[in-house]
Amino acid sequence: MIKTRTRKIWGDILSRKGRTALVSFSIFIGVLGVVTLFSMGDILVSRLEQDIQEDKLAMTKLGLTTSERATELPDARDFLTMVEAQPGVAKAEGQIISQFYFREPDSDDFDQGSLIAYFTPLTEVELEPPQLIEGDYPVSGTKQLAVERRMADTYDLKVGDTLVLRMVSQAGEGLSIPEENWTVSGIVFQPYAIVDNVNMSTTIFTTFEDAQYISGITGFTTLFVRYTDFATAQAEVSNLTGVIAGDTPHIPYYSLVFDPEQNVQIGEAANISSVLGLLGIVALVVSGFLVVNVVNSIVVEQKRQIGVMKSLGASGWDNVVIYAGIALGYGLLGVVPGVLLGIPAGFFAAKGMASNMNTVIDKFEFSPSSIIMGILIGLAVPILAALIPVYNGSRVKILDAMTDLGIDSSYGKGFLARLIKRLPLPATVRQGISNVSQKKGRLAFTMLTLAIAAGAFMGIFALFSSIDSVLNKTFDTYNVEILIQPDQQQDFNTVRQLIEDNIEGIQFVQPHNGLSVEVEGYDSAEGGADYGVSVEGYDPDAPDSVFVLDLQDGVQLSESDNPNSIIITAGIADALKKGVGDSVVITGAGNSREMTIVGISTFPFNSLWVRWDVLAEFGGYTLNGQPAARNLLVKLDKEDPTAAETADVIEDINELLLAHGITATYGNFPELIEEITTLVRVFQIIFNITAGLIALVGALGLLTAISMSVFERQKEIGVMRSIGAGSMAVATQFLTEGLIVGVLAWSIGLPISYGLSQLIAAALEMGDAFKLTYPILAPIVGIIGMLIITAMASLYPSISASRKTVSDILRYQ
Amino acid sequence: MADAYINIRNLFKIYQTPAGPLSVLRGINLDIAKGDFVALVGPSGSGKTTLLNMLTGIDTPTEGDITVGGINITRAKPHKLTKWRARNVGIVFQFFQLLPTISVADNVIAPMDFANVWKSGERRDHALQLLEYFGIRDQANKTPTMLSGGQQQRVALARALANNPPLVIGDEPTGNLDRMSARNVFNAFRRLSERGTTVIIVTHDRELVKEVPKVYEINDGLIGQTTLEAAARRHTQELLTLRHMQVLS
Amino acid sequence: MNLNGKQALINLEQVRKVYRTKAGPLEVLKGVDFQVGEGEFVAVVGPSGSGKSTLINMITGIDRPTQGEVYVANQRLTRMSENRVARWRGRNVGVVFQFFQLLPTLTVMENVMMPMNYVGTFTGRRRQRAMELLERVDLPDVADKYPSQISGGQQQRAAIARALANDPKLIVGDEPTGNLDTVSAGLIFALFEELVSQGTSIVMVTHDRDLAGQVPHVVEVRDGCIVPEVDMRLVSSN
Repeated sequence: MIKTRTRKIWGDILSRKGRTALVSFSIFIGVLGVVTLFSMGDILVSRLEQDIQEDKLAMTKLGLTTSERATELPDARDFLTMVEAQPGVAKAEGQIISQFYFREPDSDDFDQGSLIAYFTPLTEVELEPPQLIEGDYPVSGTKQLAVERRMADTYDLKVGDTLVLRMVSQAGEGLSIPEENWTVSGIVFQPYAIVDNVNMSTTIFTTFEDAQYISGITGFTTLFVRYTDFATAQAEVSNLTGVIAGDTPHIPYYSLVFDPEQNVQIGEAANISSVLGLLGIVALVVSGFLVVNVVNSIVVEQKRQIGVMKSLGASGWDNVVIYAGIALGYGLLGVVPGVLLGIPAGFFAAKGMASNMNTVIDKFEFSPSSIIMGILIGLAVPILAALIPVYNGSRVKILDAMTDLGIDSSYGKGFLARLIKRLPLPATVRQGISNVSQKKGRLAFTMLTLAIAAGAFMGIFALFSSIDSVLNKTFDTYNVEILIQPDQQQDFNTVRQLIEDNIEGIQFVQPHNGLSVEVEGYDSAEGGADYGVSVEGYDPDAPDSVFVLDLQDGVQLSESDNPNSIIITAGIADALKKGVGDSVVITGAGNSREMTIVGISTFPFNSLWVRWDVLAEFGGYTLNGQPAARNLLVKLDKEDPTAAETADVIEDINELLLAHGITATYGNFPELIEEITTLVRVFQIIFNITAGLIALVGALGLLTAISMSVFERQKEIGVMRSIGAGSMAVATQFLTEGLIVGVLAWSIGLPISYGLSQLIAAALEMGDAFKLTYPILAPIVGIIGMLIITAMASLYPSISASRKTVSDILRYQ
Repeated sequence: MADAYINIRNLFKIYQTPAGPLSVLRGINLDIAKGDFVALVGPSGSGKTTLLNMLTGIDTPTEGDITVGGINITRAKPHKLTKWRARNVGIVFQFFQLLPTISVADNVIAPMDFANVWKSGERRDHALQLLEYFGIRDQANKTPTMLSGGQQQRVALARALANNPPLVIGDEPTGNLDRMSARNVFNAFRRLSERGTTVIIVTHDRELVKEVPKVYEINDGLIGQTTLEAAARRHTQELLTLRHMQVLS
Repeated sequence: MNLNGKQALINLEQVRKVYRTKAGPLEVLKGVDFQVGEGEFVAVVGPSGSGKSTLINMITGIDRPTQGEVYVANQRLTRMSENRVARWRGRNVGVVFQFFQLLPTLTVMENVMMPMNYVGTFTGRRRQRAMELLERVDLPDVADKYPSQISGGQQQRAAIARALANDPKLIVGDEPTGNLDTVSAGLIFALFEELVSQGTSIVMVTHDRDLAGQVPHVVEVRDGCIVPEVDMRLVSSN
């Protein structure tokens, strides 16, 4: 008994190779998607969870600078001891993180990278330590450094190799900058995302003393603090910044608070992979609709065979086994290659995404749970999908099977039939509509598939156009290309003069201060992190202001005489329920002040703007008793310069300033914009590919549904041709059918797309600043795409229908 | 003929159609003895296929009874009927109705598998013997579509005989074959009846039907044992009357 | 066939049809010569599988010969594309099937209008003409019903009305009474005779030898060849 069923199952699967290929391919796509995307997420998350140890995470990270009072910095150890004595502090660690310049011995050009040094010897670091992978940690005074593994990969560095470093600490007026050969003593891996602007593929580690020697920076630039718990960290951070600002020459210009239990890196990886994985499951479920249709069509097609088998003694159960077996066969044909390909695809996807998640996947890894999930869902979906048609098939009566004449002989009784009869349409179109209405069950699945696909596409379109508009708004606000942050305090006017006199193509140089503060009554925490609210201090009176603020209410700072004027974003204004004329209290760097709101900006990320000199005074950043500018903002003459053009100018400025003994960190805005845009595009592509897979499965479903329609109505086509219908008339009918399905699916897809874009935005934790808009272009692009897809999917069956010669059809009987 | 193998008593079949009830069988009474070779003839739509379907139990009468080998098949439950049919009736269809996706031999094995007759190790041998008997053993591993119509019908015959049924039924078994093949298949049916199998066929073939010992004509749901010529005459007469009426109206 | 001086509407010259099957070539028509004159009523008889359906498929252009020529109403069908044949057939030949084959999702009226829609005839008065045709087959009452709502005999009469839609010279029937009871079959046959009396040619395949006996010309096909004509009236009155 088992033998005949098995033979029939495989015989059927193999005899219709095209159809088998379609169904198995769609299951394959779904399984591949599920296994790949979940594996990617699982591999990344488990890698991160393995590398990032919760008890070693800093809860607070402070950015430190020094003011003119810092003629004599306190002893670093004393400073850390003082910090650790603060209430709730469990452990403190100080670093120097600075720019450094290096080249390989056989190269002429210097590259720029990050130099990181912990105060504690690397073997004993307790907060966010790097791991030694190869060789040894560097030893002070021996010109040794350790490279991050991603830098070792990028530059193909081995233990014992030499790097040439520029000793910028020894730069000075009229002096040439000496170069020294340093040896790679070891390769380390830093799994923790130290601070945002560190690029691990150009990062080295040295001892604290050597870092001072190379950079010329004597004190800490950052401070990591771990509190007894997160709540204490949140409560105590302002006390800590106050103590540092008040009792030491250090000025904490930013303070970040992190919840170690909600690590941002892990959270992001998990979010992205679960959102993508869910889309993969949707693709798989959608391929289940195709299985429903195909098994249904097999049962319809083989009605006569079912009758014959029953007349040979086959029971209903035999037929259930045969047709469910066919579904299972399709499932196996899709699952096996899907899993086999999904395993390496998941690995490579994880490897590719690793740099975005600040980690490294080096050796081959796979995710057993994702594989099991892929197999189970991949097999369950077709079997579950096949249940109803299989059940119907098992109930086919021999008599019905043997006397079926092919044409539905009961049309005309239903409500829809009567409704369609009244429609004032040409008979051919009405016939198309009738056909759609008759195959409601089957087309419902196809329609749902296409609706989900259309919804996913339009939703993702809406989401990313919202992201784009947020980014554009952000980029447009910065009317500047270069940020210069000198390592030591400098007189702004001297440096500006130096640049303006020596560098060509500079439109202006303006002063800037930045500080992160707390706003009274406003909770800036998002996810597991609190970055505070950043205050931008700039010169609003300059003829060309660096900030081009778009205000929804109030006036620009330049129009206000009150020095304590502040512009806040709409997001903060809404949260505080305050408007123009109200006052707001900001606290930072050990100081608090009541400011008057003069304008509300539409800037999407929550921020504050004040006059640069007011901020300097507020943060205690002074020179000769006068408020000082910590940063210089440079705008080039050239309109929209590229990242590379900007980098060239930065290099010129750097050489110029080094020649005058000034070391600095540089920000390249066009490059930053490029990086952010690229990152967004990568995600956009991943999302669109996933939506594309759903659409592909949907199109395959429509193709199958219309092909089935053609097959089932061969006799009808024959009759139409016999009474004079040309190829066009036949093709038009099936095309009409496809397009009707497409348009209906699109209209169902509209609300889906809206909900989905909200859902994805929420799942990705886009934050308060992100406002989802639904552009009118989304449904327009959607309907055009849908018409193209449905036209293409119904074209092949339409043409094959129109090509059917009557004799082919009649010979079939 | 109370001891007949098949007893058909007072059989009615009425279909409900949109245009009102349609009587397809209108009180059929017929006895068929074991080993009889019977042909049912009659015009299309006369009810002969419906009668055949009643005999195999795939259609149920509106009224009346059929017993086959002492079992009242009109009163049996569907799943019991399936088992009964698998072991007791071999059916041969006009369009062969072989399962297209499995081999010829597997088609013959299928009824043995479904009914669980023969030990599973013996089924293939038995199928090959049957194919040998019909002279198509060399086709055993091909799929049905690779065979000619005559060959396919011989496979269908082999399949019908797989479980050694006492009754074989053919619904126009030669209807789709050329003369030579039709003759071959017909001879095979005749040999079956000579070996003691009861054979009932429906046919349109006037030449072959002459060689069938018992011919029953079904006309508008009624039965009569007759010769074709007599039937033709009566039928023509009816039609002429009808046309006459039509012209008058 | 003797045309008795009438002009040939249908002319098949040495038509051979060979189907390629997986079991090898199958010769269904073995060089058939066949003529039908205008206004003739011809029945094609023969056992299943003899080639009679293939023969009439040649006449309607539904199938093409492997060799030989087919002329119908002065058209050489063997040289026309499938698409052109479909249009030509719609205009010049009415086809009636055994199982009626009305399009199930269109009303009876729309079914009758379809051939006019397809080939673009009777623009503006299609509905009126369809109604006239339905009156002619005595079915004006069911014009707005769907095929499934009327009886088999009514469906076949509607199918004949549809076949007449473009006023064809030729009606071809493939067992048009094969699925009807004797009363309905008689009505259909009477309708055919009436059409013939008005000058339409009819070629029909039938299994029903009694019905064939009523047709003036009977052509018997056997194993792909036409056997000499028999007058069934002589046989039956014998």
